[in-house]
Amino acid sequence: MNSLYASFRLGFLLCLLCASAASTAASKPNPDADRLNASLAALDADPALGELAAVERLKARQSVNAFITAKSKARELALFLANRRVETAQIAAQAELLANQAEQLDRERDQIMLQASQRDAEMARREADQLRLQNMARQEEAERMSLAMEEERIAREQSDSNAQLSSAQATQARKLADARAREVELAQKEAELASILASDNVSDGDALPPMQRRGSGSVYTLAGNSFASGSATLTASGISSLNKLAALLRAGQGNIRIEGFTDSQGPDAANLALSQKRANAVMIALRAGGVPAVRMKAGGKGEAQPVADNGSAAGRARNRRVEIIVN
Amino acid sequence: MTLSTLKIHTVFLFLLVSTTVWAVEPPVTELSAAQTAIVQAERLSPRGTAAQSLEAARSQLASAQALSEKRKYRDAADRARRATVMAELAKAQAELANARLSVDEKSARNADLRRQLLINTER
Repeated sequence: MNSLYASFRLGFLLCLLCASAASTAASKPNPDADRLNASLAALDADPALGELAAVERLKARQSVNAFITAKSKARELALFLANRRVETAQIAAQAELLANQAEQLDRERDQIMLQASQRDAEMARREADQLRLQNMARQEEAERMSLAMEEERIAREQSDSNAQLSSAQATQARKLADARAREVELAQKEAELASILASDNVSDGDALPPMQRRGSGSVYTLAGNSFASGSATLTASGISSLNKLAALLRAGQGNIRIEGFTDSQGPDAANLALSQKRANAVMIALRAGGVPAVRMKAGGKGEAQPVADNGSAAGRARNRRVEIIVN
Repeated sequence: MTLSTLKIHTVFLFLLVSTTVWAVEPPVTELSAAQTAIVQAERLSPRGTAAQSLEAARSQLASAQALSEKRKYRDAADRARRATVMAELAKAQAELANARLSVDEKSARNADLRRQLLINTER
């Protein structure tokens, strides 16, 4: 029992000795620990790095503490580890600071890209506005040109219309001038004919058959005494009168219808035949006087269409006639 | 001190020494931690001082493995711890170099973007 007690006492003394040695080592000045603690304190105090690399700084602090409490045999290793941990903490803090700066730069890049996008959008909007204005200007120009072309077309049509009107007026004026010239010519011819008639009247003393207007035409009436009684033979005065009439009708262009009439004396058939023969005789005389045969047509009417009373001699004389109708 | 007491003390000391010596096991945890730290550092493709630190870590790990094979477990564990801190230092150095490069590139890129923006705005 005594020996067991002595053993425990020996062990206790050994432990006490170890603790004493440890406390003695801890209380000794340690420049490496001071240097390491100063480095960590500087790192903590750095405004840029103080909050960074917390895990690495904790590991470094633990390593420094381990170094401080390390036994002499393990001090070299503990110092190595503490040095590397402190160095690692400093570098990790700097790396984290740079990583934060890189993130900040990424945010700046995003901001710049946003500004660029906004600027592009603004430029696109301005360009769109400009294009819209240009388009409007083009449309207005097109409308203006369209209006100008329409006005030009209307003016051209007006001009054409005026030209046509002028042409029509000119044509009309030309026709009027032609008509007047023809009128003058006819007047001259009439004067010439009058001169001829005047000269003829002087030669045989007979005149034109009497003329009267009927509608648009003229009717010359050759009296019944121009024929021998009951015959279709023209007397000298009748021939003379028809010559004068032929001279007048030669210049004309109208159609000539020759109709013979008798009084009511005698049979109708005989009167019809006689009136036909007298009309034919007049047509032959006029053709002999130079009137184209194609313009003339002769026909007998007999005792139809009397112009006077057949009961008297004067009336029957008037009914015996040949009418030369000129249209 | 009697003979029996001396025997008891001898046995006690033998047990104490044998416990201290034979209780040390292979430093598997330390070796694994060092290996992991080295792999993490290698992923950053370190260059310059970081590459030197990484090489030192590899060397320490190789030494630790060699000592472990010789059953010098305590020394092997120490070397493994050294390898771990060296690998972590290499990783931090590589991260710092990469971050510095990234900041330089992004600063230049932003300056170029600002210049282009200014030019386009003036245009």
